[in-house]
Amino acid sequence: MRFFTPAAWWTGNVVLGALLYRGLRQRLVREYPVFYGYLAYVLCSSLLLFRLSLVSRRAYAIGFWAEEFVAVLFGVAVTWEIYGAALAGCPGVRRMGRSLITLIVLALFAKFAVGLAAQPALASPMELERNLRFAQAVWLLAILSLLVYYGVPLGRNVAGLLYGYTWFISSAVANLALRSALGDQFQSWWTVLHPLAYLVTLVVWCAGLWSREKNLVPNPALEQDYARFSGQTVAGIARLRARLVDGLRL
Amino acid sequence: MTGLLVFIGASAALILLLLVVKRPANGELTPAGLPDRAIMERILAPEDARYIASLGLPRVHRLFLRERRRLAVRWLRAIRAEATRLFRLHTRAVRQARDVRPMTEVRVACAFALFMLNYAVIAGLVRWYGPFGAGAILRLLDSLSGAMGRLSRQLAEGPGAPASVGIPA
Repeated sequence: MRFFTPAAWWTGNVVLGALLYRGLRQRLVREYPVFYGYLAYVLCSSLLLFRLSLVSRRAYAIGFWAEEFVAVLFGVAVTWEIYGAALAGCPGVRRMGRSLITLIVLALFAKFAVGLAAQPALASPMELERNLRFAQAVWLLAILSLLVYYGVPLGRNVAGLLYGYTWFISSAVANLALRSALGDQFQSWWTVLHPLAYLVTLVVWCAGLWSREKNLVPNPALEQDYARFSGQTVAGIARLRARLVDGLRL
Repeated sequence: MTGLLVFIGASAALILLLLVVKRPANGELTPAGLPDRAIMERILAPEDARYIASLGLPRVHRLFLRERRRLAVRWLRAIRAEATRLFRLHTRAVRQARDVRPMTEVRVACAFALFMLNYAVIAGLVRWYGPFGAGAILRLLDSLSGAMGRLSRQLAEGPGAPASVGIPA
């Protein structure tokens, strides 16, 4: 453990640096500016926190939670960018999903804000981060559901971005929830699981974003009238349902 | 504890959905062809069942029922494949449409969900009771629903209506 945490920290920073370098070289920065801004922010704040840890424990603790809070807000912007990139070829679905997702996320934020206003003394920075990450997790769930439902083809870069960030949020929510619920008895696990999950995220991003690849474009747009086509689908499925029942009811 | 389960559940759901999100290619959804209703008529032909029963050979009868069950399940699966193809065709076709309407999408999703529910019930009946038994159950349900319809109509008409609703013995 004595060697694991510093080793994970240094490895993470080196991989982050490599990702930023590749992003600049492959001109992926232009395509995903918020994501690469987020990576740069994480790298800079990580180095700053290291400096603070040498000054005092208290300064480090304050700096750590302040950095986490800004990172969560940055993460919301990254999620929005992923949403736009993943559904870039599906304007109608993107527009339809946007209002639904905004509603869900606003409702969650409002719920947490009301809870915080009612019992401010009980809300620790860790719980606040957990709740904000949870709101992002719900958002990502909605994005993934849309992608699965419409069978949207993803290019390697977008897929890497999405897989890595989803894994990161998923592990963060689970880790923070367990840490809040179990308290100090989870601390020893936390010191291993948290950096490990972060390293896995970086590896996934490296695999997906190492080189620039063309985004997949879905099949040509619907040439028929949308309402008529949808009506035909419903009628066709209803006919098949009738045949299913009638076939046995001879 | 419930809160912890919600957080862990959301986290697990994310990972599960990630496993489902493949990177689908833009492949064609070719029609597999819809099985003719006559095939099912043939599978459920009463004369075949009568002939096998008349032989008085229990092993042959069991084999006959097993084969007919398999054929019926294949027939049902072929219809399910066609419905899935129609549904996929819709989702693929509309994803680039500019005027996608949530209520229309809900209607399509409900139609497909209803189909799948029907399929699950009927396939379950066929597996459990065999095609002949499942057919008999469906016919009974048909006549029951008809009788219920007649009964409700009579109740709506008033107390002077005749009592018989025509449930078959």
